[in-house]
Amino acid sequence: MAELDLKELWKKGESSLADSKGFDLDKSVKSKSKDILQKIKFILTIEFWLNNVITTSLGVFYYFQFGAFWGIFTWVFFLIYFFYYTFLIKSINAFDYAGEVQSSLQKIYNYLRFYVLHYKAVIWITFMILPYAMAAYGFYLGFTDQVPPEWVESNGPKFEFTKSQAYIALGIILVLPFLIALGFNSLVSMIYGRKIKKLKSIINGLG
Amino acid sequence: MNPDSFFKDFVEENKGIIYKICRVYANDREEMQDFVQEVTIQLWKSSQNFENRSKLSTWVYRVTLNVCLTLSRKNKRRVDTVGLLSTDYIDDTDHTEQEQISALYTGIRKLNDADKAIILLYLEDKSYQEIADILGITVSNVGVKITRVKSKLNDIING
Repeated sequence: MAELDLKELWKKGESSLADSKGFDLDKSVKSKSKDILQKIKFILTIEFWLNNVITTSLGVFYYFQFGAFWGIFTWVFFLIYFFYYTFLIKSINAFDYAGEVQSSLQKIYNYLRFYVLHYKAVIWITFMILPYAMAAYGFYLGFTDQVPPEWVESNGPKFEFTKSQAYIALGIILVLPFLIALGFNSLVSMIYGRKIKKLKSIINGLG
Repeated sequence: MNPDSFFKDFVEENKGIIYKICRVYANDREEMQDFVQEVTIQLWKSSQNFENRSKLSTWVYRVTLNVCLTLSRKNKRRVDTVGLLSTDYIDDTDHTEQEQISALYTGIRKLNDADKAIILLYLEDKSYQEIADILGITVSNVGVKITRVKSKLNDIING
């Protein structure tokens, strides 16, 4: 087929626009986007509002229950996450298909990868490393007979483990935090993992 | 979010471009409708930021191509086995011409996504400058790529 024929044929093909009949613009614009970024934005928005409601409420609770320090500490965390989520959501909103798609997607991908990495680090620290550290500190105090007197004087339940109970308790202390951290880690991977991989494959394909 | 009358008229005028591009990137009719829908959503979103720095037609091609390029990724494995869309056939043309048009569409669909974009714009009679603006490449690169893709397409069509 000669070169000129290609354009000629293409023009002839144009006249068959039967597929555009029945096109409803209003419905189309209002429909749910299949864009991967919109899906990620939807999840981030849910997390943003969960942070707004849960962390601020916890801050108030800690303030009155445990004192001003813990209340303010929680609100500082709330503010850090508030701005972090706002930044991520704004970055996605700023993405425009009329712009430099590949470099903009790469930027968003880097932000999201760092976000997930940081999310997982926080999970492992909060649900595994901190409980291990606290348990280890408790054992240390017990073995060195340095138990604070207020703990001894407290009205909580007092009992002594038998050897087998101690082994079971030790097993739970070691395994449970690991399983909880692993569970949350898998949840984050389930929510973000595939979407971020898809984003990466889009970027690679555009290259 | 209601599209204003200007946007409605604008999309109506450019419906042909949108459908032509989506038709080349989609694997079936249902997917094509999904692509058109996504392009419309993104055009509406992008229109809020449009600052007349480029021609309207350049902007439409750019948004439509970029949306199709990103959406077609997810069904990448199916591309090589793609069949013809029923819309590739035209009622008022003779049989030989129908076959040729179908061969053209099949040939274009067999190209990789970036080559499809180049040949689409070439077939749309866009100038090298416009093609460069839409695809974000240099004008000198456009010429080289068009020659290469045209030859590849002719090879595919002529078997």
